[in-house]
Amino acid sequence: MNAADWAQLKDWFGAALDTPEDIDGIMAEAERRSPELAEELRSLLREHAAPLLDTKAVRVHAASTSGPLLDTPVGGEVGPYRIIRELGRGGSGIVFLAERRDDQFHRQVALKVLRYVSWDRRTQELLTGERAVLSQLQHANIAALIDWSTAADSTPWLAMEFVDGMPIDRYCHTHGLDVSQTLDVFEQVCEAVQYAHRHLVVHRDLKPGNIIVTHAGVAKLLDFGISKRVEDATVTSTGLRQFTPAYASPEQIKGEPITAATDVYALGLILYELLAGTVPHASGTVEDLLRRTQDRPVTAPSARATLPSISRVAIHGDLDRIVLHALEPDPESRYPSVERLLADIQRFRSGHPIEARPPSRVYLAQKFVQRNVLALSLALVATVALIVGAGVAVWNAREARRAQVVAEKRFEEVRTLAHWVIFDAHDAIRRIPGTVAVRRDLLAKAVEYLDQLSAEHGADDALRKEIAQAYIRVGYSQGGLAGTNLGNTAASMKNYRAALNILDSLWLIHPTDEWIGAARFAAVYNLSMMISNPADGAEFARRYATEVDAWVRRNTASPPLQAAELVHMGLGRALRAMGQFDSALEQFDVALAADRKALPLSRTDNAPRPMFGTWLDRSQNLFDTGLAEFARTETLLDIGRVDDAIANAEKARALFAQSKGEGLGGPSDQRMFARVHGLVARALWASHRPALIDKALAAASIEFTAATANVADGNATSVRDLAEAHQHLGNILVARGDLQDGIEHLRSAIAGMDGLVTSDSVFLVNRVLLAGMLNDFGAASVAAKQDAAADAAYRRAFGLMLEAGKGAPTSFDVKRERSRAEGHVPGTATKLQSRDGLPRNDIAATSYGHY
Amino acid sequence: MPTSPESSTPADFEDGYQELRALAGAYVRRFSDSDSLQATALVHEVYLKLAKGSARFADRAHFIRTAAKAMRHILVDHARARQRVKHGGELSRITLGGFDIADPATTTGELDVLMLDDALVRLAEWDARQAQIVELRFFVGLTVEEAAEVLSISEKTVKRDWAMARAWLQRELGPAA
Repeated sequence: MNAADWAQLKDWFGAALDTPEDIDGIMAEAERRSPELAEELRSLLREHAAPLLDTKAVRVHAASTSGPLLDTPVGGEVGPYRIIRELGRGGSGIVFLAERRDDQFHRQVALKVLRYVSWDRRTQELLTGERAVLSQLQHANIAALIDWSTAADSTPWLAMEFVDGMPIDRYCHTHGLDVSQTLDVFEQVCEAVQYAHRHLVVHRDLKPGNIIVTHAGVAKLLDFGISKRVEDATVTSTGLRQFTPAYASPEQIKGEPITAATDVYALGLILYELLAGTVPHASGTVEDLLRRTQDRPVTAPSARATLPSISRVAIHGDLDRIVLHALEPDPESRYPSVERLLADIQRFRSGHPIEARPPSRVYLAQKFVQRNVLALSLALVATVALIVGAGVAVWNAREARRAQVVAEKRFEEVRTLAHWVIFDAHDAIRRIPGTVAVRRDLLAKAVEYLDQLSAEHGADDALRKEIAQAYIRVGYSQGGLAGTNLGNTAASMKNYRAALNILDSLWLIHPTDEWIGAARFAAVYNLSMMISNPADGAEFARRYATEVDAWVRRNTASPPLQAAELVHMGLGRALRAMGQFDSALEQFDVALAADRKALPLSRTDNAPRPMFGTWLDRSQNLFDTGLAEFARTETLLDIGRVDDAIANAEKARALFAQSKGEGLGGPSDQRMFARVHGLVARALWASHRPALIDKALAAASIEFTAATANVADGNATSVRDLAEAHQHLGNILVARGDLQDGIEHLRSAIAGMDGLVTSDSVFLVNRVLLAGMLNDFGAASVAAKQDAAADAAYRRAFGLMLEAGKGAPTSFDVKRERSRAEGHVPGTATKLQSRDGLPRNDIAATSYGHY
Repeated sequence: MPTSPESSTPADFEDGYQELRALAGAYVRRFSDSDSLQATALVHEVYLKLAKGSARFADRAHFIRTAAKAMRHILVDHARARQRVKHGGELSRITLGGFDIADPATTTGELDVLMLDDALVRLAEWDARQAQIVELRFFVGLTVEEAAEVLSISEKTVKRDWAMARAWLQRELGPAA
């Protein structure tokens, strides 16, 4: 061989790849020019077409001529069975019809024994593998495993349900089944394979000879001899590369990873054969195999149908498309699962449009390693290093699917790591101020891994729980009223919804699981807080309120009580936002009752606890009760029950102080400790009693000082808190006649809220607050005779609320702030007043907090 | 402006090459106990480090071509060292995951790096480009498309060259006749 020879070979080789149908001509040409090179070309093409097929064939052949034959004559005994007759022979063993010697019923079984004594360890492993696989599968359309052991000479054997019938192709053809009857039988096969896939078993050698149909028309899947539990860690998949050439998929021929799509392909071939009476491929010759690995279209079954009982017209069109879709050479272009193939067949049969060409399977993101994780804070470098490691691991798992041993190990590693990130790392830093952005990145990364794992491996319920929890935590760090977060409401809602989807379905399966229930209703609460239109939020919360009440009736432990508290709080807040204040108060009372019931169940040790589904710390219970009283106070202010509000605000303040005394003190807790002073200030101020205004000023100053300290944290909720503190101070100063200082504070309030509204335009509460501040500023400016400034502020408030009203037509707050502004904006008042019937002049400006 | 490998000076190449080898070598040692060694992950990591280092590469294609050479040498050195360590004992192999060209003799999907290296030396005598494509596919984990880009040739050519080289390697690296 020299470079010139190689160049010549390259020409021929390329031509053969381009036009496999001309392969004979190319070979003839090569033979003519140089028999030696022709031999070389043939050899290369063979390698190309079937990477391991040839060597494997040679080995099986060698095995069949050199191993000592197992002595199993008719009448012989294997374990407790007596051989009746031979049923068939395969590469790895002989199948006998046998009956139990000690069984008075002479029950007959199909007894499979190794053809040769155990010199071939691989064959033995195959059989052991089949045993492990079969013992897991119990399905009406899969031949059951009855018994297994090893014979005296240590040859393994296994006894399977004996299926008396004939192979599926012969059954359909000899009985002259029509299209519908054929599909009846075929659907049973699909169901069996689908069932096996759900148990992580890919058959890999589906062919008519392995599917027996009984006289009663029941299809039974036999021979899981080369199937493999996908997660089986003891055998590498390359070690099992055996298949039947005529039914092999392109990826099997090429030695690529075997997946569920491999069985989809084989099912497609079987259906093709049942409908057309012939296979689409000639046979298992090298040329045929080569062709199959190319992207060559397969002739539609209707074009080749020759069976008298099968109507060409009936299979032309949709059935053709279904079969050809299952036979796509690229596994990723086929039906992604047998389920989908089956669903399409059923759609066809019921006259519905078929899925036909589904979007190609979503490619999994793989470039973890390059992701920018360096932006994270220095304190987390160690964590980040681990995450980068996890990226490599996930990625390895994907690459090395054939080496499942490695993949499974990695899977566990990554899962453990993601778990660690979500639970331990996240919780460890949750209470450290200034870590919001880091938490978000960490969690986003963890969710990514979990998603990846779930897409890769199919999620079990435990993994789905983890994924849901990760979504909740990401949502929590992104937005919402509570907690310390980044003020990205749209993203936050998306993550909560993703969590809720998972949790809704898990709850159906596990209606008593306290963790799932707790997490689910927590997601509901947070979502209900973020839905812009209060009527939508109320409807959403009410649906779940019914469910949570039912749960509390079934179970009076702490988790359902906490869940009920949250959902009723959410519903109450939505009702308050709609202006249904009495109904809102009722809901808050329900929440308070749940808090009271949960109090004796709480603990006082403040020990670390999971986020959901367990007891509550006493300090947390007091805190939650404080939140409910807070909401009650605001509602009382809404309806002008100022004295009740003052008393109620004091109750809330005392509860938070108690909670703080019992040890609560994370960043989001600190926020409420500050805000409750603002609540007290507002209630006192709303009384318009001169005697109380100094007390109001004192309370507002406490709030302001605390809020200023908290804002160093740099998260959205703290910025909002400080803006509100400015607003409270400003209004109280204005009421005391201190106009210039008051206006300055109101200006600061507006500046703070402006930033939040710009960065997160989805969150309604922020926009309402801003409008309220603008209106307060307008009123103060009027008092200070600064008409131009007042006019501009009112106009802005009006415009903001006009816009907000489009997305939240049922929001009382929006209407109120709009009506406060509109009296000051010429040309708008009458029109709008007649439309929503609200008073035009300033009503008591009590709408500050919406916690 | 991207430049072809020919236009970068030997000194430049040498400079980057040595640094690349040192980095990748450290990586290989660190992971020598793991089940597999991901060539692509390695190159990414090395690249990230180099991006901050002083090595000079004319462009990304240049880097990748160099990386492929460096990887090949590192893995060969590594395999030789292991062979010495386990002298007389079981031959330790380095896995290059994700490719078809499994050695049927071992049935574990592993590829003997030393045998591959030998074969590539022979192949390069007949067709340097095919050898380079194999290098890029195996040692840096490039896809056909990426290899085409790095070598500035068509995907079709790469696909064809790759198919032939793979078929040949498979035969050469397969069980002894």
